[in-house]
Amino acid sequence: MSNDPLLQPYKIKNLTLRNRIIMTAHEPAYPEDGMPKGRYRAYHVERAKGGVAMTMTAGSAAVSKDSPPVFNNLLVYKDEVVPWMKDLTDAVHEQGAAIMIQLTHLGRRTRWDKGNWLPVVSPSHHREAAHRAFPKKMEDWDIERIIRDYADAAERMKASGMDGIELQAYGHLMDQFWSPLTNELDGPYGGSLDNRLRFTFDVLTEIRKRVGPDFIVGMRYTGDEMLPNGLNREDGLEISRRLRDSGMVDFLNVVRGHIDTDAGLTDTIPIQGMQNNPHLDFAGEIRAATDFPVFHAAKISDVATARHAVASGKVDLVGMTRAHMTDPHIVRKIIEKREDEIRPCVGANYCLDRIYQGGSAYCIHNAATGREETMPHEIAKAETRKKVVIVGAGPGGLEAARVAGERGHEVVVFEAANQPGGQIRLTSQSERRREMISIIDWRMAQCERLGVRFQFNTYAESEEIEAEKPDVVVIATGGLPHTEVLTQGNEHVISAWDIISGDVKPGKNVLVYDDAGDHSGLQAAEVIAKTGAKVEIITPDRAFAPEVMAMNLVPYMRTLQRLDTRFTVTYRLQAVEKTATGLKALIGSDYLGSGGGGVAQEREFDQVVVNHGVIPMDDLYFDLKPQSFNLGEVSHDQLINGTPQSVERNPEGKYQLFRIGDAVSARNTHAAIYDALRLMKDI
Amino acid sequence: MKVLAAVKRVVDYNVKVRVKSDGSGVELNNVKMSINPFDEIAVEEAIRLKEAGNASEVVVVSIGSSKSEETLRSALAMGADRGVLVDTGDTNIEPLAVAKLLKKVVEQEDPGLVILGKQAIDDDCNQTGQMLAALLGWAQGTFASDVEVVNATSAKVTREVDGGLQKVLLKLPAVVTSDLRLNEPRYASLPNIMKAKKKPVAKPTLADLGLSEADIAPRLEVIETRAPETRSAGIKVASVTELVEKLKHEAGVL
Amino acid sequence: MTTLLIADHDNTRLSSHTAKALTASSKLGEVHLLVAGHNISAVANEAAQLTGVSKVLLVDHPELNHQLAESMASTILALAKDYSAIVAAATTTGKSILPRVAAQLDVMQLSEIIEVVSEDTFKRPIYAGNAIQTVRSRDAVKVITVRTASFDSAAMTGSAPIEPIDAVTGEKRSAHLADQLSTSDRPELASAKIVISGGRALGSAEKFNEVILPVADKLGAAVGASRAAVDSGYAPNDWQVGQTGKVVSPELYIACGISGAIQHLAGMKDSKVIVAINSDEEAPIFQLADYQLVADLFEALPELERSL
Repeated sequence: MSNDPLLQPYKIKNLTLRNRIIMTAHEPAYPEDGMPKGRYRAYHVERAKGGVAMTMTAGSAAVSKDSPPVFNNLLVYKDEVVPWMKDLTDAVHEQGAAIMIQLTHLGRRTRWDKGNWLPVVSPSHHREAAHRAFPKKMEDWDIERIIRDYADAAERMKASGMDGIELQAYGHLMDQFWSPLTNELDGPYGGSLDNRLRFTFDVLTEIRKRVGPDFIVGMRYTGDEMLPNGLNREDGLEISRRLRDSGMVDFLNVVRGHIDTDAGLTDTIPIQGMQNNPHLDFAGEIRAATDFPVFHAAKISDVATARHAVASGKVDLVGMTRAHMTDPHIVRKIIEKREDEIRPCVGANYCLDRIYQGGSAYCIHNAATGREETMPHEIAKAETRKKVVIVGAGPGGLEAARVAGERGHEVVVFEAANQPGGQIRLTSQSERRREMISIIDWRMAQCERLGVRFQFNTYAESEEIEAEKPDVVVIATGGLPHTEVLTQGNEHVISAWDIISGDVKPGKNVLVYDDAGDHSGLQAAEVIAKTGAKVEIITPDRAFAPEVMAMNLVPYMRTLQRLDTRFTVTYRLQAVEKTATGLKALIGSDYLGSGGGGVAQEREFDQVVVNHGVIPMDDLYFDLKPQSFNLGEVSHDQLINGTPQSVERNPEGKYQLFRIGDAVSARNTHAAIYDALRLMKDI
Repeated sequence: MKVLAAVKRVVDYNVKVRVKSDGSGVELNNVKMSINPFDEIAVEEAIRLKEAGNASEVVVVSIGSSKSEETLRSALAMGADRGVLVDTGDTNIEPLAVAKLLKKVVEQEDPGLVILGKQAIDDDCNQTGQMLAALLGWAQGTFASDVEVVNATSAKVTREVDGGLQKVLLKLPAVVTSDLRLNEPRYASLPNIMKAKKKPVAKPTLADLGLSEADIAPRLEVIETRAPETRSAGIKVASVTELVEKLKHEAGVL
Repeated sequence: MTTLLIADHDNTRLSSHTAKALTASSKLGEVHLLVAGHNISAVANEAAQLTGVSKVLLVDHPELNHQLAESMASTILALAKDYSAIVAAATTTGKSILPRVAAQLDVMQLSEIIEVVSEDTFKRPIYAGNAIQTVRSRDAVKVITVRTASFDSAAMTGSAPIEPIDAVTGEKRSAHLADQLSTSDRPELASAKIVISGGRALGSAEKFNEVILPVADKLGAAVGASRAAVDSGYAPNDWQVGQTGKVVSPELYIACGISGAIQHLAGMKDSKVIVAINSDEEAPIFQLADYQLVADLFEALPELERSL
């Protein structure tokens, strides 16, 4: 028996959990038709296999029709969910993990133009900034109906064989009742704290009537809204004690903060560059004040911190939720004393941000997450050992090297720089994005274990590559900044990379023209603004930096707004001219049209930075192409169906040739890693 | 004024070096090689002198196998202007021989300042800069943590000496060896790495430099290379009291 | 077969390095000790007592006041023809001077030897001590710097004659401007008998100072830090122990909250006794430590301070 605090069993009512690490509720938006079908099941089963003690499914499973999901959540108001839920539950139980579900009514945190187009309801008319719907102020029959809906849903979950449920009360209907900021009802459900909590206790009472005393019911709630006139820490402690004393609740799953704005959400669920485990001590305070089972998650991404959280008695169960998006096998690796092999969550928050923007969660550097039905988390050995040469040790090249190594191939990687990393090393130059380098460090450690040979400081040419007598060549050379986007004056502009890398010193009055809309533009703007220079970001898009996405934008905005950066949307930089004193920018707009009449403004700057993605470095690819079997062609059908590539266009060819990542076209880290995984897993 | 920086290709400082079991040396096959970190600092300082207007050109020199060209490219990617590679093949080349070769390169290039790392992290000799200065009859500023070019004929160098810092005035030309805190070398950006590919690297032969194989033959015979004695397994102590007790009475160090 | 040993001193006192380098030198035969500097009669008198020194050569000259390498090397070269070996402690002064001497004698220096195997064969660490090389010198004169931590001090029972000789300082190409010596009461890191080092686990500069410094004061220890702690701003640069920082080999090294990266281990693994205090039982530093204490630093260190 291990004496690792994380590996001690935990008993709650009649349920014994095998260890202390859980996944707290989160909705990766994998349901199909609102039901947890194959993809959903595969995602949770993989983590159950990996040893997690309990998985809390469904961030925000909807109990009512007027709580339509804003992205893709489970619809537990439908009876048809029961068999699906049962399949999922059985499959997770088979792997030895417990499974529960989070139920909620979103209240105002949704939109009326979703689902059945029912009005959004809340205990006040106040709009939530993030979702923008003006709610209907609830009346008696809304309250009665929703109490019933909660109980119906709880009953369905019990019927599915689940181990328990939790109710969500941070930013959703339940705590919209609690908070004086969002409850303007009179009478039994508004006013005093007793009244504001009445809805919750009515729901719990009704649920208990249906599920009985033995079924596990918990509450995930904010213990401090951290908003002026909102619920404060004392309120949170009082609510915690009342929940405990009600006898209807089995555990407290503590959250701190408010989520009605992007900034609030990001403080509640911090991303990279922000403080680690910022709310753990607060969870510990609630644990101490209640002496009641406490769960907690919020940027506890490493095992050492998780161990501390449990060992110090701050929490009973520790949530490593985003960490499990990145590595589903954390617990198994702890048990096998392979903690250093855990693929680290880098806090890039691609998972969460992408739910809103792209429809479902993916991990920035584990392309198998959310694709369990087609992509392996554990790579099988190939039947025949091949020689694989990879050019470029950026994220794509290293993923290709890792996967090829796991397949048992002989792998050589050529890299022009002295260090691996490519664009990840560039982005890591910003203090806030430093954690990104773990994407590289983890792969380098894996490659070392797998015996991958690296040749750094090497500009690979066809000679070096052919000398290796490869069976497969993968070009992962990435790209270089593309700044030639102007009708004239391209020679006067610099790239965002020039600023981030330190190659060019920031000017005093700088235009950042960003139509790539990714991190580089804002990173450059931040570097420049921090020197005290005046910065204006101009984009032809309707919103700036769209690829950075909502939560990732928060830390940038905090810096840039304090430094008085200007954000100008819907204007296009057309040309730059050198003047006696600096640079003149000719700025037009897609709305005004091109040509002589298109120029809307002439503005003076001393530096113009262009962020327009990369142009592939593909010379080597085209040099090698004639010598390859497949002349570089990839069969998309084989790629998608997960079968080996067999295109043959040149019988004289000496090897298969592929290119991946930005060497094909400017995309992002996840795309490069997914390119590599899905190509190499079948080679 | 031209600045010359000398760079050596060594096992990367993050690599855990393994000694070969037959005592013939350390395992260098498939081991990551990098620019000697102290030399990287020297290159950075040379480039900063140029950026500050104190130097007109930065020339980097490396002496060693043909693979040392990789190391020169690292320095060129940082911003050095051109390289000189003296290919001495795969044989071991000692600091005295390196100093002799560098002296010849210096005579051809005529720099106002030569900067190199205080020591290479492979052989840990800490000799080349001093030897070069002696052979040239120049002043030296070893273990530099600050270099200030006063004018064309003098420079002030702050040296990290045991117990503190010492500031000296050197007549130029001079040799400076860099210590860790002289600067923090820049990140070589990807565009600059690609540009470095096109920068010129001259490759003079021994004869071009007026030296023969005999001039650079090793003087030291390496009899064997062994791993250091491993420490005997330690013991766990349960408390601070026990620790103090052990340190006083068992180890006798308190 | 006489060896010329260069005394390490500050014009006032002989440093402890000289007596240790003497132990190494004596293995090569008779030893003359060169005391070069300015106003150094006290140093010469002290040097004359070193057991195993047959003669003290005293060179007193204003230009040697700061023992700059250029003038020191010229002085030594003028004497070199009479000696089969020239030795100095591997201090920053010795390391600056002797390669100049070696180059002008056209011999390869043997740097930082840790053992004298025979009069022409020596052991020296390479790769920051991760390997030990045994080398034989074929040069007529052996120029050697000595890693003094590897040798015991010679006794002080002798009474060698002191012979004043003239300085030969050569062309003046460098000048001393200023010294800025550490004013700390704590011993210097590289030569301290006890070093206590802190790592990233200390969490902040304040915590570092709060728990490490009192113990250092009690022990009369120098203070070191891991690269992680320095990079995080918890400790100044010149406290860094490691391959890219200072290499130390004290009698007692106490690593507090240091996980034990290779980089750091290379800088301290030759310490005589190593103590590791860390809350992480799995920390690699424990594999190297003679005494291992798994404990919370913020409890263990104040307790250690009280119990000293």
